[in-house]
Amino acid sequence: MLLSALFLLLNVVALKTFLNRRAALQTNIQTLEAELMQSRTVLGQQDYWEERAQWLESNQPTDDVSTVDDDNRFIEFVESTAKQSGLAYTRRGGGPVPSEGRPYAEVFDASTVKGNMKSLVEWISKLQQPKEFRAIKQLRIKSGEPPEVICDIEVARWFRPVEGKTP
Amino acid sequence: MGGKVKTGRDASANSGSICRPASACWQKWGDAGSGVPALRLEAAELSELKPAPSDLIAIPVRRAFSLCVWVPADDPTLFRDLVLTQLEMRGLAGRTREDTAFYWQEIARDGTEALVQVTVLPVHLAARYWHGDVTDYAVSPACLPLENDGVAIWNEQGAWVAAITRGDKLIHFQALAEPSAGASMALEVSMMLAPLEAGNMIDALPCVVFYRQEGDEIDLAAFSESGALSATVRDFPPPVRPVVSSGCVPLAVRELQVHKKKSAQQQRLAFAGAALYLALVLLLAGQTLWLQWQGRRLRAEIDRDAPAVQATKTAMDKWQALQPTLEPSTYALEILFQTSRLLPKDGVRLTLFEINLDRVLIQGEASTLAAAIKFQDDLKKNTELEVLYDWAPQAPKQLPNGSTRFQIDGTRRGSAGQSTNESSDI
Repeated sequence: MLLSALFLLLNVVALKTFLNRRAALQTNIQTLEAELMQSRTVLGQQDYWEERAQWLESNQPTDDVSTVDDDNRFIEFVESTAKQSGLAYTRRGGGPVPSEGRPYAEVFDASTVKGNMKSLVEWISKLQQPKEFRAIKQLRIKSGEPPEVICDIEVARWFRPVEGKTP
Repeated sequence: MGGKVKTGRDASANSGSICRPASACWQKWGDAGSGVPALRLEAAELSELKPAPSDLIAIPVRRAFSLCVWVPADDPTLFRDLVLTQLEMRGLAGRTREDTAFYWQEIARDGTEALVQVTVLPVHLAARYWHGDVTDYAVSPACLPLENDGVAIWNEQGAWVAAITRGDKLIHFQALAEPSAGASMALEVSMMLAPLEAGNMIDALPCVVFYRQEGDEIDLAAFSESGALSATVRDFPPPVRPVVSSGCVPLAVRELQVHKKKSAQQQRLAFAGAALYLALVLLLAGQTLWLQWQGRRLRAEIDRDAPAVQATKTAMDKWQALQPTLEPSTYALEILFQTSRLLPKDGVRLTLFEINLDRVLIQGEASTLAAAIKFQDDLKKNTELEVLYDWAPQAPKQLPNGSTRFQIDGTRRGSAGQSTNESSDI
């Protein structure tokens, strides 16, 4: 009788252990299946993304972070194009920002410009062109004295940092 | 329990040894080859012969009862009940019919009557006369090649016993009281034969044969002194196996066999249960192993593709990170353009347009509440903007000058701000 009870108890414990183990294995398999499906989805787009990676490799600008020449050229560009578009340009700040784990480093320029809306649109369109890798991080356009608008803008250039000039 | 035995005995029908009682011991006879019987073993007790399941045990005459009777029926299917009735009348039956161990043999027929010889085994047959493994039993004269129409007398376990045949069939057997073969024994035999003769069970006074065994002293002259019976002496013959088993076993053996059968059945059930349990354990273990194998297979497949997947993901992440510089549809100017397109000619103007990498905030004034709500709805439903931003219009507010101020916040889809559901204030 005691042996029967012991046997039954052992079986209950073993069954419980087995069911827990099986549940864990099934959960693991579901996770792995989801992971595999995700991998296959990603692999299905492999060619597409390889093409994009190659395009980035070829087109993303590289800046020499050991000097400030490239940074200065960008800031001058922002200011000069604003003035060329007929906007009153006031620089509020800016400078380089290291990559810190991002796939790019940046140099940004924060400024306030005033002028009519048409000039502002013209200037912004000059700033942001796909192959130039310039991003408008912050833009605030507020109505001023008509037809003037006041725009606080923070524009950045995202580049691949290198030490020394690329050949 | 009872059964019918067909007639005839055949020494060649030998499928096992025969254990029989002799004058002072038990003998085990086997086949020496070509049907020639051979004495294999002698022992004081039956158990010392170690009978095998296929053996036959000859029960001593003194441990069985013989009854010869005419039964008034010509239908053999009725014999059993008629025989049992006869046994009950003579006090030879057990407590119940099932507790009576007997078998019968039809000897002769006369009109509507049949002469039947019945052998009855005692209810409590002593254990030294049976063996639990053996299921084939017969009374010892049934295992002897008896003379036709004769009386055979031999010494069995210290006492003389006699068996009478009608034709080649055993019709009666009994133990004799006389300790020596002499005149007194002849008288006893005559008295034994008298009721058989009177009952028309034997035809005439048969001849008497003594089966001599080692140490037997047989005084034939004294036995034949009266002249009523003539006797001869022969060597005790080897046993023969009845062609057909009596089918009758001692009650103790039957109970033992039933018990064995039950035990075997329980054992089979236990084995079946154990096999089922083992199969279940193996099935569960197999399932676990299969799941483990499946997991390892999936992991191997994922690991195999991992470098390519990682490279693709890196490219995706890099593109995603640089998207604000690469995708014209996400440019601030494009968002402003898409918003401005929705403005009606009159009645609505924007007072603030603010955008960063994750969010956009648009404020404006409308001449009426309806115009403000319509603009918010149009913005929210705009196809180009809807794919980029999740819009949250604020409730328009009436201004003292009668116009309505409105605001709508947009959170870029997939941005950190959207997943954390932070405030849309910029």
